[in-house]
Amino acid sequence: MDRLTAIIEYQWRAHWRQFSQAGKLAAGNRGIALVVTGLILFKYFRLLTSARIEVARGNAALLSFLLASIFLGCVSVCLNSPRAGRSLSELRRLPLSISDLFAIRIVSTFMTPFSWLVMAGAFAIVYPIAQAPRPFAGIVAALLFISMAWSSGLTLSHLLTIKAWRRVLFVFLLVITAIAVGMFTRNHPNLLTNFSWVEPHVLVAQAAMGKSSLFSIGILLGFAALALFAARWSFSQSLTIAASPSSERKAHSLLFHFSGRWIGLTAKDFRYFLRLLDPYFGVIVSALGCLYLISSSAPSGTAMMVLVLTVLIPNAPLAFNSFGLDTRSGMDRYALLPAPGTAIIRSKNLAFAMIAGAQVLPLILLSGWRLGLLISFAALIEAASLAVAYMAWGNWMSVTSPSKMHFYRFAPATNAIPEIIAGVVMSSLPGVLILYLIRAYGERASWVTVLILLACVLPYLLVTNLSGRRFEMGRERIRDSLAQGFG
Amino acid sequence: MLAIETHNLSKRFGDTTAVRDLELRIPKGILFGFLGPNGSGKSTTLRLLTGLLPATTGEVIINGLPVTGAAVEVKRQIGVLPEDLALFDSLTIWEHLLMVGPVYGLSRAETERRGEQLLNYLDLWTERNTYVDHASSGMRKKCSLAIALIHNPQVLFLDEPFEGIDPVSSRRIKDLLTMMTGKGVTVFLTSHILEVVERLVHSFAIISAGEVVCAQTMEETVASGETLEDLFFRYIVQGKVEDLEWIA
Repeated sequence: MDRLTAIIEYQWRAHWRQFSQAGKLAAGNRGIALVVTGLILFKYFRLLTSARIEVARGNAALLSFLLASIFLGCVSVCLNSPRAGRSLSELRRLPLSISDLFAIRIVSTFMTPFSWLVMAGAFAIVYPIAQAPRPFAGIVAALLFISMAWSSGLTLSHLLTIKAWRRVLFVFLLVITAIAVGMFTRNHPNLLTNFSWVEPHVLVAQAAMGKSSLFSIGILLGFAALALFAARWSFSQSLTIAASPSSERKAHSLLFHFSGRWIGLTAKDFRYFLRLLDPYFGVIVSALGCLYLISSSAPSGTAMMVLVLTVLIPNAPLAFNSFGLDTRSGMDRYALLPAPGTAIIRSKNLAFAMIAGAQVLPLILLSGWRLGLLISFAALIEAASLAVAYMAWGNWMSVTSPSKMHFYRFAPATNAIPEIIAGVVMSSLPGVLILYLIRAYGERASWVTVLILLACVLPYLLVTNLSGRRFEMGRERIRDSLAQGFG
Repeated sequence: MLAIETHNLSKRFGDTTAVRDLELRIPKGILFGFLGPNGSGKSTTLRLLTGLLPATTGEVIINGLPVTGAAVEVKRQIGVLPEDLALFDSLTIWEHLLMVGPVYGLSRAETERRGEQLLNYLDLWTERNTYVDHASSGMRKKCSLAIALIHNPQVLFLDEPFEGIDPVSSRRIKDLLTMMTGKGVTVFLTSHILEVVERLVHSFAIISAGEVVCAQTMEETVASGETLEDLFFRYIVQGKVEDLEWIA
């Protein structure tokens, strides 16, 4: 036990040293981020009060909704925590068993202020449950639910470090989403509600409201045990995979076979960007959009334009933090190459454009078939304008507010939240404008949209040059920022 | 003509001075050894010379070009094996070469030709598809060395090139460096392995606590009847083994 305490103590110190080095509240908008978090918590606690009143009246709908939010919060804490396989496999050289390492892994997820906030929010669910007809049963069920949510987050986090499981999870997510959309578009949403009695958040509500409390607690206990077992098993798997020597690549990325001075850099970033989880939401939105365009009897041009706008949003971290996946060592290689900063940034932009383009292209092709060539053309211009706007904003942000991102994780909520929000809003403006023009003037406006694209290109060129120079001058600072990424 | 020149080169990190008023004059075609204990400022100096780190004061001139003013041109002329190897995770050894070659203006075919020859020479060809983050430290170092050499640099900076390298590859690297200096390439290397440095370099400097405490040619050292090790320990204070009486 002493050994574990010592390791956890020093992990804690290392984490907080990094955190304190990141600057004061005024630096990097950390203060603003704190205010935003405070507002979210304020809203959450108000909802808790409403849920308390609702529960007292015998209505558990809001309570169920809050529990589902808690589940997502717990999962996101675990998904944002450092990659388990790599960092903990390094501890394997010490005389520690897998169970010891698993204990360290669990405790390490509680070290960030974000995890404290989520835990505080999760335990606060006791407040509305206390008003329920069976408060004690409800609280026991809620604690089992939180434990299950945390274990599920850990399991997901571990499985995402394993290549085969990443593919399985992605296919699973696509299938589930497609089934759900299929049911809704065919007016069979009640098929989903048939299974609601086994949904964990519903079970908690049932236990609290006195509807077969023991049965609900029993099922939740089973779920919690299963989730813990899955977390432990996936953890040992992730350690084994991390330590395995299967490290050879069978085929090189196609991009490395193209000629071009900077294409190698683009190929490298393309591979990096594919290892961030956020863009896969763009893939899912794109897949749903394709499903809509194929299955709808009368697809709408406006919906198509909104889809293009939506697909770009999950890709924002690639544009706004394009150095986030690089390491200190990689930053040194950039410095050693005879490449101006602008060239490096453009190579990253090309990788971003390829990923965003691959997501938007099926939509554009299908819209040409279902909505006509002019709408398809407008959608193409909209996608290009959005991509250029994202890159213009993102290039500046990438060199001024870089933060560490990790492979097979979602981009963390950094202290640049206001810039990210402003960036998404500003970069979406060309899309909104094109959407307005198409709605107001119909297909006649398609050609006017080209002017909007040109208006986006000019600031892009200017910002990219400025960012390139700033990158050359501030590379050391970016390198240090990436090294300070937690985990 | 001088290949590497520094004037009053200093680097401070907060209150700590890592390198103080460094004056170097290294002619072309010389194999220069830069020696010193851990934390003496060797790697910081190498980072300053290669433009990886901006100097607090002073300037660095490589082949007549200032590192700060003509950074891209200087980078074309130098090859660097840095302390942290400057490799990208999740890229294979071969992909690193394919990526870097064109940035130095090499065609794809030429990059492949040179890359294959270099990897064969460094006994790395069969492992070319290994991800660098899964490769052994020796393989990583040889990969970084191959990257440093692929564009045929005129000045080569090597930070501990023999550390973690197997004897066969180590011998090959030594032969390669000797051949390169014979053809006019300047090599600046840091190393802890004094025996290797003694047999390899034409001249050297010893740095301690950020200051050069000794600089001379190997000819002068041999003429004085001393070995490099004698000189090194004259300037560098070491701990006493008697302090560790509790071991074994």
